[in-house]
Amino acid sequence: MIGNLFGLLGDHASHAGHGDHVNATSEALAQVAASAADLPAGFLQQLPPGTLMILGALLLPLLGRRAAWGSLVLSIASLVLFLLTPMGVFGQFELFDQTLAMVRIDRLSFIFGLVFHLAAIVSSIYALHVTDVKQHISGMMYAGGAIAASCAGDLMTLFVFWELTAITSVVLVWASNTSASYRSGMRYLMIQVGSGVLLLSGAIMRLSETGAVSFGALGEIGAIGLYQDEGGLSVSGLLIFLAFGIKCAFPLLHNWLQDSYPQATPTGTVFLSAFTTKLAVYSLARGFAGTEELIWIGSAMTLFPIIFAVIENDLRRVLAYSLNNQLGFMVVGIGIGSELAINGMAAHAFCHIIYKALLFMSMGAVLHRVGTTKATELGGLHKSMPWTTGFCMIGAGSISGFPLLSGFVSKSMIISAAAQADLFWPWLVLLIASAGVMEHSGIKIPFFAFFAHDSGKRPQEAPWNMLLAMALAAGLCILLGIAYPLLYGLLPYESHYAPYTLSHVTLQLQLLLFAALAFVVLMKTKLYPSEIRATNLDTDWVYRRLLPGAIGVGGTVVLAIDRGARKAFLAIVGSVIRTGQKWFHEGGLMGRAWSTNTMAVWATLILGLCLVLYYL
Amino acid sequence: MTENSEANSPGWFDKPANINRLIVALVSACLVLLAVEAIFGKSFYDDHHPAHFPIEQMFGYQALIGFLAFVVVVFLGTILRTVIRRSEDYYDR
Repeated sequence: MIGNLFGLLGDHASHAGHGDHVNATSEALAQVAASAADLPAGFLQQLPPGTLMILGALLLPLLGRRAAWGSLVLSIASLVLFLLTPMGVFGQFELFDQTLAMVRIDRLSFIFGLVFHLAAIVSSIYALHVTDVKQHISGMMYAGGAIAASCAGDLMTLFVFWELTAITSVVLVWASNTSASYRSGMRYLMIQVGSGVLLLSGAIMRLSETGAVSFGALGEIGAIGLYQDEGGLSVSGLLIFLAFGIKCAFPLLHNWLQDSYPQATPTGTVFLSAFTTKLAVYSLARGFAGTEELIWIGSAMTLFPIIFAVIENDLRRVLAYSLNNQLGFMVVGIGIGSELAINGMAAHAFCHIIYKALLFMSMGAVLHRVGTTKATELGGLHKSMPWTTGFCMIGAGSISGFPLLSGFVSKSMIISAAAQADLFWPWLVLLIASAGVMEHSGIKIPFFAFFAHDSGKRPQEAPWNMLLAMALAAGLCILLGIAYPLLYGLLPYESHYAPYTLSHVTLQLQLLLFAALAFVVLMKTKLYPSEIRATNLDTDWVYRRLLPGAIGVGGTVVLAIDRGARKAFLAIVGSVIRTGQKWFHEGGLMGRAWSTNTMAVWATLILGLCLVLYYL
Repeated sequence: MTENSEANSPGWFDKPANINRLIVALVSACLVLLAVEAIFGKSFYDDHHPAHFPIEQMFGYQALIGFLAFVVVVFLGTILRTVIRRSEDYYDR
């Protein structure tokens, strides 16, 4: 059994031509890999990676209060198994004349599977203090589901794990035990399950169109596409595209993210931030790399959330907008579809999962200790939470793309790919969005939580396990930023990208520091908008207010028509009754007691009349 | 701000003199970055990051984009707030 990691490193060593990405360690590991290659293939590799976490999660209740440690052990064991699984297609079986492949591991699924495992480990450490077992069960099943989905070889397997991530993750929202989180979780669940239904419909249509449900061959990127071979729009492709787009928080389909993530528990949000949207990014890349529409969708995604983030008071919601904006960078990379762009997308997803988890962890620590993440209630926390402050700033520096931190080596690949493809406007948008990231995540998050005006709050520093998880993530941010060849060695295509050149570092620092200068100028001139306690509307207003309102108005109209019709009917019935009463009551024309004589006279008269008429 | 990481001792940020020091440091760093670009001039772009668009020939274009984008984003946010701001319990009523 050749190790996956070993395989990659061996691959890596074989690129000895571009020597700067190779070191002696990887060569040594490649030799170990070669010697391990003769071991027989195991049964475990036939099961989707992450199965251990999904099934193991069901045993966590047996551990009682130690369930948290169980999660950690499960995620580490699953990572080891994953690294020992070779690349290839496994777990094939026949169903309804179709060959399904539960497992397909190539370089694209490997890098996502790897970073999902790392996120699961860090999130488990972060949640070690949580005694609520259901959160651990759902967290593990959710992470395992995402890992299995990212290694799914066909659309049916993808669908099964796609829905598993939806159903398990909602528990992390509900676990907050507030009525707001319950309602938000319901909306989240409906939208996520809806995305799965679209995926299934698309997969079934695709099966009838092409006779197969495979999700790209080994190493294939961009397997589905929006258009048929003849050029027309493919309906099945569109359905699958929409399913991915909902989970990827495309503009106008995005608001479930900002609605639900800030409602989850402090530890739950860290889990949520890592998996759902990046699974969608992976799926988009696998299915739709090189689809031009994605360049424009992605560009819009990088821009609009930064404007919402400026005025948002809840810092976890600011991070949700920021997450949306970062997804935009990846979507642009997928749309460009060149080797550099796909590499940039994968690298950025890898780095992003770690620094975004770090940022959510720092805000989770604040929520854990202070009970709120509203900027209006915070400020000056660096005095009593110095470690959390420091870790948060490393995350903020990474997401902004400061040299020596992880965001710099990944985001710039996508921007360079846009330039190489001569896409001027998307390139400019990505630069503007980079300055926007500096605004909401680089400055706003750390500044308003830990500095700004002193709120007078002196909460205790975060618990040891939270600090450890943040330290690990922060360490990874620095490691990936400095030892970037490690990351580049994992990318789907061979990478010759050199992030650290004089011009590139200088220009990037110009962008960031002049953005920081703009912040200083706006603060000094009091033009920077102050934090205000408010609810800011977004597209969720449509289904939380407009549609219920419209249904309400529609209902009122129907009720009015109904009431009018009843009234008219009752009036008719009433008048019939009244007339009947008038005529048939005791003294009425028809109701009186007629004497026999009168009857005889009238009968004779009528008969006479008949006779006359007959003879006429 | 991100360049504050070296100083976390309580009270350090409460002194206006220290804040001014940070601002002076930031402005100096900005000037140094422009100086680097000025000194290396046209030979600035290397093989790995060649210029693709005319705007890249302009001196300090990244500095300009960084500054302007930040200001515009903040102003757009302020305008957006007037449209979408509701009371905090808007959805609870």
